[in-house]
Amino acid sequence: MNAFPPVPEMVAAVRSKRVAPDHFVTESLRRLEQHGGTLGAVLSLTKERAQADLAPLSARLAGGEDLPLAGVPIAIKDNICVRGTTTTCGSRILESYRPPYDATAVERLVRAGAVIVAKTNLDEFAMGSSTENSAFFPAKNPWDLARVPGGSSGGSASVVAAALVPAALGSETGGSVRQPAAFTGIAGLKPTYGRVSRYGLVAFGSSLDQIGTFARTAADAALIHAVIAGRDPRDATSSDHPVEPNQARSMDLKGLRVGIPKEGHDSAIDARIRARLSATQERLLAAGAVIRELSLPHAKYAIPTYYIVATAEASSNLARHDGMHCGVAAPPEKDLLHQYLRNRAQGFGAEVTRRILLGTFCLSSGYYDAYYERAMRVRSLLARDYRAAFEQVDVLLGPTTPTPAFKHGEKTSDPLQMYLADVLTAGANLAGVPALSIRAGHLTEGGSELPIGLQLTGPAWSENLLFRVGAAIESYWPEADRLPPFVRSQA
Amino acid sequence: MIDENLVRSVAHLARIAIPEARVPGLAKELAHIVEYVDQLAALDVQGVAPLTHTNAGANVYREDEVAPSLPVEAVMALAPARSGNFYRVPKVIGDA
Repeated sequence: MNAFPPVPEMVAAVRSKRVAPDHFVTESLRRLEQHGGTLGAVLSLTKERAQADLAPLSARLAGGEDLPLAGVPIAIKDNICVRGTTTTCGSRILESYRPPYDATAVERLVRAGAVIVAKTNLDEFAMGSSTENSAFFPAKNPWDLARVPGGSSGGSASVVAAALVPAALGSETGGSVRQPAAFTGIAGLKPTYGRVSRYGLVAFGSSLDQIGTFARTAADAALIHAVIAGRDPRDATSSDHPVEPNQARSMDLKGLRVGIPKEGHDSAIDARIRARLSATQERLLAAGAVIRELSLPHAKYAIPTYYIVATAEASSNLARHDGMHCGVAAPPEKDLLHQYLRNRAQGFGAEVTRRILLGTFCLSSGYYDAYYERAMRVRSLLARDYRAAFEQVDVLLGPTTPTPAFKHGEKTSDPLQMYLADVLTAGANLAGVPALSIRAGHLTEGGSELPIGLQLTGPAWSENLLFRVGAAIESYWPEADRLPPFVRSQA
Repeated sequence: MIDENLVRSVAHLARIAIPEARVPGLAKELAHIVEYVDQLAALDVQGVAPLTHTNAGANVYREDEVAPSLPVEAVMALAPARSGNFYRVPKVIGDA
């Protein structure tokens, strides 16, 4: 099995009628059907919806519509609404939820000619860093099926890395796109807060949530991102900041100021990942970039701050899930209160329950000031760190994760250890700035080749710059083009 | 600070029934996490404003106009139990 061609080539082939409009969609559905199960990556195939969106495609092309994603199959994380398909959030409480509407990001993809082929597995309500918290089954990493693909968007990362689809949408609250992108060796963007509409994304931490894009390369991710970005009247927090035209190509790095936060060279980070960072710095220097070491002094508080802000917002957002607006009728309780207590106890898994309780605690009378209020103040300090950094440099470069992909079960017994998997990613969400994880080759561990991800962070609205610098860095590690062994051995 | 009684009261506020056998374990797990996030207490945040929105600009207004909403039947069709266009739930108000 080979990778899909780069997205622009697929679109050109469909537009010029060298292949039928359904060519790549049919191939993607075949691959998903054959291998999606092995990877635990797919919660549902959206065949009917795909046929419905394919049907008018020929006529739309003939009518001269500009379709920048014509015939491109895309998988969607199962916490993003796709009309008429189940959108479970990886949770029992939404097991039978079929939203009667499309998320704005999905609507824009379909309008651009893309075709939704699958809904992908995730940690329940996007809470987790390994996709082991799915209420249905854990997802696997195509590089080593004994390891996790990261999370919470692990299913989306897994299907892109295994070349079952060329691209997918995920969502981020504290690193849920970038961390799985790093663990599976693909590109993953967390956009600037407000860049992509959250309409139709099931809410977790509303001041942090963003829909993000996965693709094999930064260039492909740029193309998808350009389609879904922009103001949406249905999300008041979406920004009317102009969307720059997509520039999906590498750039001249001469004079580019690249900041290396010293936190990225911390001894707690895998030495092989640090070595890859150093080697990348040297390549950037040789290309004419200016390298500056700096510090984000409050970065070390990102995880404690994140787990207060995100759980507080989650406890409030998840209050709406009462098991009485959708789903299967539960045996009636004696009164409404007991119905709530029982429906929610049965509907939520262990980690979601833990986080709702933690968030409720942080917001409760007597603790609010010490926890939620204080965390929001620390969040200010962290955002200031980023602003100060971007007065000195154009982008920041560091590792995306402290380790390569870990094994199933390795961190499930201690929630706090799992939380620390997001130690290098949560800062960008708290500060609202964009960050892109890109593949930077592999390391070998326990006989497996495991991908390494590096992370570029920029000031608000700098997505295009991140894509272009990312494309340059990808080219330094040509072996990053390799497909996982799981894929190479398949038809 | 987080003990079994606090777990019970927070769980009640959150409207989640926690089996009694699970309470000690949850108290331990939550205490462990709270102990970790307590490192923020060491920071001086005096005079630092809380950050509630990262892209805070002007408030967002729109015209107060009638716009299409979701079809009622499509939404009600999701209901586990309904009576016409109402959700059927257990009694809310007690006997007089």
